[in-house]
Amino acid sequence: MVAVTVTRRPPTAGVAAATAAAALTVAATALFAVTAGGVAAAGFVLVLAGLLRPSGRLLGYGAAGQVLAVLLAGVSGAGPGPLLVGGVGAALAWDLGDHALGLGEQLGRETDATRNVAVHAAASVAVGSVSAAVAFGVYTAAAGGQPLVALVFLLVGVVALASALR
Amino acid sequence: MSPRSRDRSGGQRRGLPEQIRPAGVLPTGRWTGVAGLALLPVGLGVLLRHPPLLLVGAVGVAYAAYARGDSAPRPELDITRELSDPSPAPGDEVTVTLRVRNAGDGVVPDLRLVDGVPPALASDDPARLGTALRPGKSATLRYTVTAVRGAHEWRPVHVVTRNPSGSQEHDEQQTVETTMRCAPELTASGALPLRGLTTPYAGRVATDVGGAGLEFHSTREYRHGDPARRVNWARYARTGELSTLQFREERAATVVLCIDARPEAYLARDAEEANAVERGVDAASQAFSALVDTGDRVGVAAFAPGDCWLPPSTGSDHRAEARDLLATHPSLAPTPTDDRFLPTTWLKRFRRRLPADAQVILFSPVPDDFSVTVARRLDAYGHAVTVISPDPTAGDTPGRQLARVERAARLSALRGAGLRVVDWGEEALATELDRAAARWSR
Repeated sequence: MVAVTVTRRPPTAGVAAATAAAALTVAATALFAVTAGGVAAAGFVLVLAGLLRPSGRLLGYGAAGQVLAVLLAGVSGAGPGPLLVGGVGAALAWDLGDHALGLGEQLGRETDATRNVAVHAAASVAVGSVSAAVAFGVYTAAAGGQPLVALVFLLVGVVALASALR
Repeated sequence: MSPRSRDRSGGQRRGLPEQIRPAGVLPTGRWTGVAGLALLPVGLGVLLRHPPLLLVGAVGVAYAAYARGDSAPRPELDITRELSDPSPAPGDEVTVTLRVRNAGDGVVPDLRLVDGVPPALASDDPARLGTALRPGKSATLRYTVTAVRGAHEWRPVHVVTRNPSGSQEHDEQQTVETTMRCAPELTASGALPLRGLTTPYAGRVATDVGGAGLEFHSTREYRHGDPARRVNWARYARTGELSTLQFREERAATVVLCIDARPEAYLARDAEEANAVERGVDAASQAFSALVDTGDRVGVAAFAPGDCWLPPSTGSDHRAEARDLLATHPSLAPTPTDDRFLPTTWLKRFRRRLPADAQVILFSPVPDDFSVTVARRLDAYGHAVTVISPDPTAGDTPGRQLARVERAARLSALRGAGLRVVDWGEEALATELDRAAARWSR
């Protein structure tokens, strides 16, 4: 009779995916403002720490830090490209990181969960990139000369539509 | 997306014990607050008149919509389990193949599956699977277990599925009935010295009764009809008186092998080693064979929750029955049961069942004073008791040393009360029995 040992740590593939997303945010924000890049890097360290410990709380703080970094970059005047990449990166860092932590908790590191991680990551990346592309398209088409309030209303309209569809 | 959302709903629920975890579809809470967070860049953008910030908000809104609009997972899974050998010999490696097929119309994007391996078979080979399944596709989980004695029933498969965004989780237990029966052969090893409580039938236990036999017992006056070959001719030649030689009569005994399998008795030196119950059952099967071979009537009982009783008998049918009982009776399972145990009731029932001329061999690690009480009481009722005690103690920490000393004290209390005790350490049982037999007087 052997005692079962389950290593309650996230699978390597999940850790790699989440770290890559967090690194993407660091790159996108650091291109524009050093302070924002610094905050994003701190978020990256927290995300990595959260995945390695493993701790959902640390991961959350890391992702929140990365969102903050994106806001900082926006405040200091970053363009739509870096902001979109940074925002999607931060969201993916949370999503993929949390998914990996859940897998680690329920299945452990020894279990082969590559397929599961890949499918989840593909779906999340698709949602992120499609929404970023649509937002960017609408922005370039409509922003020329339109007042800011029009864009806000457009966004509010999207939210209302999404809620109504539900 | 706040760090707390996870701890509040998902984290806490995950931490709940298996029995009270809610089943069915439940929100995971992993996207809670993302919509609120999305408003932050929008507000900032408006305040600072910096339109690109709105785009970050749009991404946040997109993820919130993704999480909200995602349909709940409704998995329809066909799960089958196969064993490479449903009745292996102990120690055999058995490959378990669990095949899960998506029988529904929709994709199962996130499937986590933990097989309910019987506790006695648990191994380091992961019996868990994380994958995604398109409709009609199947995934296979293969792992090996090492067979140990017993009838092992697989527990339900724990299936957790999530929708693509992971906003909702479906939790269920699917029962797939599989049983592995592993019954060791009964093999005799060495003779078991019995005490002098016997039946009137001829057997191999030398008694204190004079009569026909092999070993010299006494002489008595010649009585008419005594066989001529038992007349003490030497004495007749010397004195001219007729006298008769008497030998120890050899008779058969009735023996009940009683195995202590209370939860307290599941003790082992470390996790890798067989526990005292396993060793006790092993010793009992050896003893059973040895005794049946010498013509004694042997029964089996478990000092444990549940009703485990095989009345003393003999013959090949009885042998097969005993093999099955020793191998697969739930009371003698390799891991303890949760059933309630009423020791005094058990003792009463056991005494009622025990034939008056039955000896008892108790296989117990003697983990507490109650086992001493049971052994002494049975002995006092006239059932000569022999205790074969597998030693589960270690001496590497002060606490364990204390447990060892306490057990030694209990054993010497038993010896002091006139019971026979075999303290079975690391060596083979036959060696220990030979050593003990040399020490014991008849």
